[in-house]
Amino acid sequence: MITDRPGLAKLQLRPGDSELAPEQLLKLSLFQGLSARAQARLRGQLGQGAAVLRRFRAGEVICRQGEPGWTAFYLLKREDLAALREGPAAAVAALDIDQWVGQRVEVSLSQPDAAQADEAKQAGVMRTLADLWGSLRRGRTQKGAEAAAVDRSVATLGEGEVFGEMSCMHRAPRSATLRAAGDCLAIEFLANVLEVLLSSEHFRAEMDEIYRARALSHLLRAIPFFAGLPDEALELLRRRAELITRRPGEVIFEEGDASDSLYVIRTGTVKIFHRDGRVLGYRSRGEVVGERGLISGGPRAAACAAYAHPKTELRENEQLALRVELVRIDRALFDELCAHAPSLRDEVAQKAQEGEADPTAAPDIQVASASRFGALGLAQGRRLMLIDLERCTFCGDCVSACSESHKDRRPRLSLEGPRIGKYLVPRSCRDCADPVCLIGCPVGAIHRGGGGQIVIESWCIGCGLCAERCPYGAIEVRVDARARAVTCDQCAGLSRAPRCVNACPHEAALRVDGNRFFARMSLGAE
Amino acid sequence: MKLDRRHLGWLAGSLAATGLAVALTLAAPPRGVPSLLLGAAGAALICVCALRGLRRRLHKVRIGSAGTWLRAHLWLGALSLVFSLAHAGFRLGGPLSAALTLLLIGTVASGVLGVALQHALTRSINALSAETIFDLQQGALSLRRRAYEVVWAACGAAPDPGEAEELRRLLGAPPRTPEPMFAAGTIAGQKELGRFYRDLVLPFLRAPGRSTQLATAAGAALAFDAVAVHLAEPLRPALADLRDRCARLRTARRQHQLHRWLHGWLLLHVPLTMALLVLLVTHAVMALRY
Repeated sequence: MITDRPGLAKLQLRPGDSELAPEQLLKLSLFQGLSARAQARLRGQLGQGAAVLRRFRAGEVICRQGEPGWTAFYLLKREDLAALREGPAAAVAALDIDQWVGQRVEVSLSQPDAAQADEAKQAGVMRTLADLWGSLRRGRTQKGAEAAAVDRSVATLGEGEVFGEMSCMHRAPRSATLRAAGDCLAIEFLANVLEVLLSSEHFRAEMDEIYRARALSHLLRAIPFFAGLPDEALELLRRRAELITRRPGEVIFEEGDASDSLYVIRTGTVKIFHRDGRVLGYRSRGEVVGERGLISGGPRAAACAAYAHPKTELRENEQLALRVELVRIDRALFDELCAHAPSLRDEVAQKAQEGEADPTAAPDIQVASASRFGALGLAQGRRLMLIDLERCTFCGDCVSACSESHKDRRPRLSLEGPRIGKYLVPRSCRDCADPVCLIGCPVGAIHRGGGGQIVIESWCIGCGLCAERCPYGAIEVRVDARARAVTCDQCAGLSRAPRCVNACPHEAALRVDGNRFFARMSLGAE
Repeated sequence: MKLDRRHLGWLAGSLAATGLAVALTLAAPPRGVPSLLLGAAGAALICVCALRGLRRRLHKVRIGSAGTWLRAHLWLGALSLVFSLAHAGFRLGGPLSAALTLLLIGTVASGVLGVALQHALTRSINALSAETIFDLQQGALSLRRRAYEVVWAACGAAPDPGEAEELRRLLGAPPRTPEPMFAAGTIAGQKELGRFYRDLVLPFLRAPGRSTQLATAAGAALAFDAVAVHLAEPLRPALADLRDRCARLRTARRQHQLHRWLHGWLLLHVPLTMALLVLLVTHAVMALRY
């Protein structure tokens, strides 16, 4: 979707698409109500081609579920079209506005097809052989998995609606597939434009309402507790649940507080800890905290706070992007839900008893060296690189392999960093669960790639903001022909482990999920 | 490579093969078919071991894991010596055979030395510091940039104008202009701190390998204590910061020295292997031809 023009962020223009002048965009109803400062900021960013008017044909997929979402869309209203026709470089001058009135976009969720899944189960040995053959021919298995999913239409969006903003805002994969129901016109814009829009309280409130109407029920359905709720109970939950936000580091509830509610995490990461600072675990998007207290009625057994990366200093408006958003379900609402679905209380109680739902009930599953683990931000690492110092002989083969896999022959890995136990945590991108480096890029050049890796596009201007943001020093600004930020791409595209890991003859280099790895370690599994 | 339980299978296999080779040598007459087979197997093992160097350079091609190649290199290399000795009937033989045997012993011994060093020295390197810096030049540059920024902030002015330019050249980006903590000339000791930085800290950071006063812990303690008495209290944290950075660089230097020892054995092992391969080919040609 992106052109390769150094120094200039620009969404690719396809046939029928148009570039828009900043003044034209600021006339759109979406951009009304912004402060003068925000408008000035927006002018600067739009001038760098961060928004494009796109024409989608009927049936065309606008974005697909599971893809990395780093742009948002706005479906134009009639008055927006009229405003665009009046502009100096009339992007839609030749269009008949009436033809575009009543544009619709269909939202569909990709879900496993029960019939195909059954068929797959019955296939038995043949299926296993097919999978084996598929794994030999790269990509085949994945295609098979895709075939076993069906798109189910869940909603329709209309004129004046913003979509794709949740994944863009929260640096997460697209949660649904969007398809043009008829020919339609939409503005696609980069995260830096959305960040300016989010500085408007009015826009944020509107987004919350949209979220409540559009996405909340899907989030709740995905949680095992609520999956079996009848529709009327889910509707009650959707209307009555409270949407709350916490800034990084802010406490959600304290140890010893009355257990008056449970929380579903919408975005961000939550840290669960004891008053003495001992960290019990981390929870993220789609997980629940505080349900055990709600069932037992006793005080909170542990505190919860919005996770903050260590050493991250963010400006006031950037803290918005890192906030933790939760759905609060209070006791009264929970009781009402239980009246609709009596099994809900038992399910939650059972989970709490098993100790799976609330980490306070599983004191053994504690992260090793919890304070150091927290200080090093290891919980964030989804593909954290570790070097086992008991095996490593410092031969440097991992660094050489990294250098050789990049065109500029320079490594994205530095064997320098802190230690935890017998492991060295080298300076290399750890593919954070919540990557702060993505926040605030003035040209929208940094985003997640298809494999979840951090990608820095060729139009990076080398301002170094992402490098400053990264608490782990994993991004460097390098000056060759021009300044440009670079980081580890996790050898995206390779079907096996990254080259640094493959090249290690001592089997000392590892890429692990930080949270799981160290939790297992404390249980003696490693 | 560290020897651990991952090597047990290889150890067992090597012992079994050694037993077989010795039995064959004792049972069969010298220069018989078993002896020839042992020689051919020994030569093949040497070649397989030498291929590891090639495999190391071919990261992008997946022909077995790097770990398996290294384990094979270790154990097959040792086994090649056993086979070769068995092939020679545990005698040195003529001048060419003797040279070949001695070279092989030297190559295997240098490999054993490498393994021993990897066991002993990695422990010493790891014990040195909680933070690991393997690249001395890059580490020193990073410490140097930070030291420059710290002294600038404390003194309220650039402590050495030439340093900013040099850092820009070396790092590709200039050091950040810090927020001055105090205006220049407002705190007692700013001049002394600047001079100390220029005269002692900077030369050490620029060339950590050279023997300057800050290169030893004792010399550094003396120098830092001496300048500390001239500094007002608000400047002490900056001095402590410099002291810490110099200590870190000394640790990195020590790590670097150990690192050179750790891989120094390769200077012996690789040329010996090259010579061994040349002699092996000569020996094979001579044996087949004459």
